[in-house]
Amino acid sequence: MTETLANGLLLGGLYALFGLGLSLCFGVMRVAQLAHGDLAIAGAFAALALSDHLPLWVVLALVPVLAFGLGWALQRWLLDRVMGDPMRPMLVSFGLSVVVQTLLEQAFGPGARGLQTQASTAAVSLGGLSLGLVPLATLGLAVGLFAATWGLLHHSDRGRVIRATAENARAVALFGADAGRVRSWVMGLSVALAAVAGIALALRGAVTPFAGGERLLIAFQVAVIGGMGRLWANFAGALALGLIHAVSFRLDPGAGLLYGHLLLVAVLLLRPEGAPR
Amino acid sequence: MGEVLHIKGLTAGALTGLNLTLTAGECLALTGPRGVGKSTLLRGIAGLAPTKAEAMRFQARDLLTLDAAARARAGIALCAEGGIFATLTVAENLALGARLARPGPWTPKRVWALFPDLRTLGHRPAARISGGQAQMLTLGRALLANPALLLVDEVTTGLSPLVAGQIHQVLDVLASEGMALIVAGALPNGRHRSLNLEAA
Repeated sequence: MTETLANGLLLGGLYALFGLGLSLCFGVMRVAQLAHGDLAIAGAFAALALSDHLPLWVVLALVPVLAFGLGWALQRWLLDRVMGDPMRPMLVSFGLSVVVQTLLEQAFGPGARGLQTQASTAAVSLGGLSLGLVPLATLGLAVGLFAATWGLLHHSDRGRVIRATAENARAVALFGADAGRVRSWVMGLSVALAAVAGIALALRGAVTPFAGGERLLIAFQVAVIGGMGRLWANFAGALALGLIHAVSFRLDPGAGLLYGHLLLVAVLLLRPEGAPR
Repeated sequence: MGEVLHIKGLTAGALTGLNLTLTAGECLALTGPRGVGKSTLLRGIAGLAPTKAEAMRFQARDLLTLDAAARARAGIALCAEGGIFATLTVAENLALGARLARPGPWTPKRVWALFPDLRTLGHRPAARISGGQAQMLTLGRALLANPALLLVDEVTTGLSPLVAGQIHQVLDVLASEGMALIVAGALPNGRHRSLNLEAA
């Protein structure tokens, strides 16, 4: 059981990565970005395609940068044109999610593929437990990225402007900032974080072009359980979700993700302010 | 002292055909009943409200081609009631004003000396300060940018006479140091001229 709990925490690290970008995006722009999961999977497939030609460490550095550019352009030339009523960017992102999924299927076929390396099956012995190296690294990366994002938001000029934009996008112009650029930058960061999560997923297992929807669901649960834009609460929520999934897979394998969904329902009933306002 | 602001034939909201010229060190009080367009005029000059004008110049630059962010960088600051970011701390709100920090006499030290509360409450979320402190914060934050033109929208509404008097004194000091000011609402006796928007 100890090993199940440990694996649940490690799974939570992966969930946290999926939730981080979505929570950031919703926290600043109040837009439910429905293509988040598919863009994460696109990041995984981009890494797969590039890893045939480039060393893995180059791929791991390059794909998030490309994803940042994609997110930046997406906000600047697509989503920013329909901002205002939150429904419209949400519908555009839904359309985008379908397009990304179809493109991935056309380009890579419907089969499952994984980003296999020597490290994929490596295990680390820790206090009598045998834990996978990739899941451990994923949890470490999640902690690092949450800390970095928090530091950016609370201890940098850019972060102050991002938080001010989240509160009142029109008023930041009075301080020389361009809210449109801020939104593009945040969306770039959000999609880059999605790509990192997608790569982490492909490193520990296999992905198909259709995996985005399930990943979006995980990301939403993480973001909602902690409260959109509240990073450390999101992180705790992700660990809780990972623990529940790991324990329920072991005790009640037929139930799938049911108990995770029940956690979400319980949180919404007990603490509705944690839900998006 | 040179001309800071020149407006000819401005239309914004309820205002039509407004002409206005302001020189450095001059303080203009906008008067007239509620809804006559005092706030709209200030927001229009800052670039936050849509305006049409035959000419609109700020220190010889054509304002009509500049958006709100460019106007702020050029040296126009707006402080308005309710303009603080409630989710940021007091210090973070001030830091936003200091982003532009054009050369000038206003440093964080001088703002803190003027409004000591802004220093002691630095780490408090701006949602949890009093109305008077919030007005001081909007004014102090605007000053940190060292603007050449300060637009002040109703920052003494609802304040005790003591605090309101303190803020009016500050406005006098600013004008005497060469800043151009436009203030929505009547001012007590001082060196300023008034423009009644109802008659304009």
